[in-house]
Amino acid sequence: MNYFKTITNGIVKENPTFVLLLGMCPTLATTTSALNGFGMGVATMFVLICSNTFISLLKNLIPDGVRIPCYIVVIASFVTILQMVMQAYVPDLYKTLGIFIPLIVVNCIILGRAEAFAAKNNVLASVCDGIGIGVGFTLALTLLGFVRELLGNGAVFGFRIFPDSMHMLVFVLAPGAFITLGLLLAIVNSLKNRKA
Amino acid sequence: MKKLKSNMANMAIMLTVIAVVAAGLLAWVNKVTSGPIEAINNATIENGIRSVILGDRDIRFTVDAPVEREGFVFHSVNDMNGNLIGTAVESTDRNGFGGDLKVMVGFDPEGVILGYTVLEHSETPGLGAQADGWFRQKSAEVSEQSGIVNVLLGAPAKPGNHNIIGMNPGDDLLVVSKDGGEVDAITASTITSRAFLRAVNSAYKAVFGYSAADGVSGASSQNK
Amino acid sequence: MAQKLFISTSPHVHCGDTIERNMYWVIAALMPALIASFIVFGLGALAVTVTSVLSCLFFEWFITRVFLKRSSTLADGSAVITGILLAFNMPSNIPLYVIVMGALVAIGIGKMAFGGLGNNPFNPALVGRVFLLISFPAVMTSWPEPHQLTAYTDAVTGATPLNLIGQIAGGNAAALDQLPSLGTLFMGGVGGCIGEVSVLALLIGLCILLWRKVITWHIPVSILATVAVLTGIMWLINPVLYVNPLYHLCSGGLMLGAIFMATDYVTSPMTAKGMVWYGIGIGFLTVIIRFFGSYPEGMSFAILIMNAVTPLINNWCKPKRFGEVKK
Repeated sequence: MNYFKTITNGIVKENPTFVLLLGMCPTLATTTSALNGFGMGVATMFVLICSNTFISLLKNLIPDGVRIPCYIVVIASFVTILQMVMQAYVPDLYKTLGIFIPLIVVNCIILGRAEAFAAKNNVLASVCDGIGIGVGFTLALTLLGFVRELLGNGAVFGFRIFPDSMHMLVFVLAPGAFITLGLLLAIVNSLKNRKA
Repeated sequence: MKKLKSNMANMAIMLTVIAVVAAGLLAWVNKVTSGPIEAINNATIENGIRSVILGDRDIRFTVDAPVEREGFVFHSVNDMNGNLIGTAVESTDRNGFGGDLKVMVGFDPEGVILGYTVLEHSETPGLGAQADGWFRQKSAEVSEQSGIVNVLLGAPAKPGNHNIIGMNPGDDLLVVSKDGGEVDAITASTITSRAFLRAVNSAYKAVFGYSAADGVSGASSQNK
Repeated sequence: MAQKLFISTSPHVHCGDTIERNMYWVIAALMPALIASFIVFGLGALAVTVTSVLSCLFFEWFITRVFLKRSSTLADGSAVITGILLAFNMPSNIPLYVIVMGALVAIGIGKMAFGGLGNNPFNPALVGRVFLLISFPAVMTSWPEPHQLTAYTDAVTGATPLNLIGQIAGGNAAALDQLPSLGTLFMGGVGGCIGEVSVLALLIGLCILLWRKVITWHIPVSILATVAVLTGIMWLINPVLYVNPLYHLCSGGLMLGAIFMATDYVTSPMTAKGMVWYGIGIGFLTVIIRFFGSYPEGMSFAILIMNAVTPLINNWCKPKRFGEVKK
């Protein structure tokens, strides 16, 4: 197994947002700014790497009949740890991401990778997969947040670029999330078709 | 190592072991983080009170336990000698454009508004939702802008008076200028502005017993 | 498209009806309202309409020729209609940048992203308008006072009848005195979007459309009747808080929407029965949003929501097959 390939696979060929279209709820809801998207991506990546590692370690100890409950307990533990740590040390980010941190538990990317990858591969490969998918998710969320923040707030990572009168508020609201995601998907697919 | 078989004993034991280990781990993290979390939660309330009472001033202060009366919540703020610096009042108006509008307003002992913050609202984004910043801004300077830019991007906001900080609802008529008052409403959001000012006036009234807006008919007649 | 049509053997008689001919009659029917808006809002209305139509034409041409590499569809007139309707849905003091963005969204996302005329599930002009309404709420909801013929972005703004109606419902009895008379509302001469200014001009447009059989009566009549009945009930319950239903019929974008926007062929149901249900739905949603929503006017949202329901209505109101016996 080529570990490097496992990582790039998660970023490009099986990008969770643009190719697998998994984890749409946090993707649409938390990407109001590039920083929020980035924060959500990193939080998810942390849980993903930890859960992939432990599930891969425990895969022979967990009987098949109870594997899903076991995975959920492992994932939920890491999410709760993350939640408490964020609340204590990065309260501002925690306040903006709010409800979406506990919802990482039910993010289908994490359970999906546990079931599809970590339960079948060794620890090192599972860590690489977690890094790859996590980075892919983080990049996609940051890109989405970047576009929405630029058009909706006229800013990039909080720095003003456009004057107030040019802000298109819709992009920081829910409809803008769908429109931006749709347009980005169209661009990604048209690039892929051109290559093929 | 061979995979464990899915018989009842194995399943029960493994699930229990994993749950117990996870619970232990969580208990430990909780113990480590509970201190900082509590400190931050206290600081959030304290910062809210600090920002509406003290503004930029840097004074040490103590806050009395909150008092709840007739739907208002009062926080009395004292300096270190026990003298009253001001009162922060949480006040809600039920007739915002999208429902309840909850603000915290800070008054000094004479009733001058020291600061405010919008705690909860369901106003339209980009319109009424600007209330948190609007009523503390000094009137915007009209920037020199050529006619072409106006046509392309829109005319700059007209100068107006919408800074309520430093006003005293006992003397100043805190009513939108459309209804004959002294405060300019948020552009295209008169209803939110009225609700906001009603909340401020009723907070003042709850502390001092009357407000100048009482005598004005029309929109503010809804003051209770 | 051509090979999907199965045609029986000749002889055939062409009725002479084409997309172009229908579209040009719609444009003709829009003219009275356009002229009324020039009279009331002057230069501003002219600038907004011209910009909107030109940008819609440009984006239509640009997307068909450069992106899709198809033959241009400019001549079918649909982009002109989208441009006029988009302008009709904006205040006359709106900056040019906002109009161009609206045209880009209307043509690019509202129409071309779905495959062009005939494939769009939503009325393109309304997609553009709602996009602008949510994006630039301040400029989209500050309407200039009428009769400032040479003013553009510097025009003085004021409350519209719908704002006042909302304030009355909020308990502000003083707003009742500011409400213009029904006659002024009907003839035109109150603040508002460009196209909704004169009810009379819009009704002339309706007559042209009905006369040329571009549309049938079902959609406009069912919308207006539903609004009249619902607001009438509210008025009867509490005449102090809720105004006379005639005010509701004559104010805001109701007439414009009922006559020109809701009747768009592509996005409305195909059968008469379906059209009536569609109209009732729009009227009901409009009243709900006007009374309880956080935007003063609900017409555009109501039409878009019912556009989305149109395929269901079509499915549900299938016409009886020829010769079919009802069981």
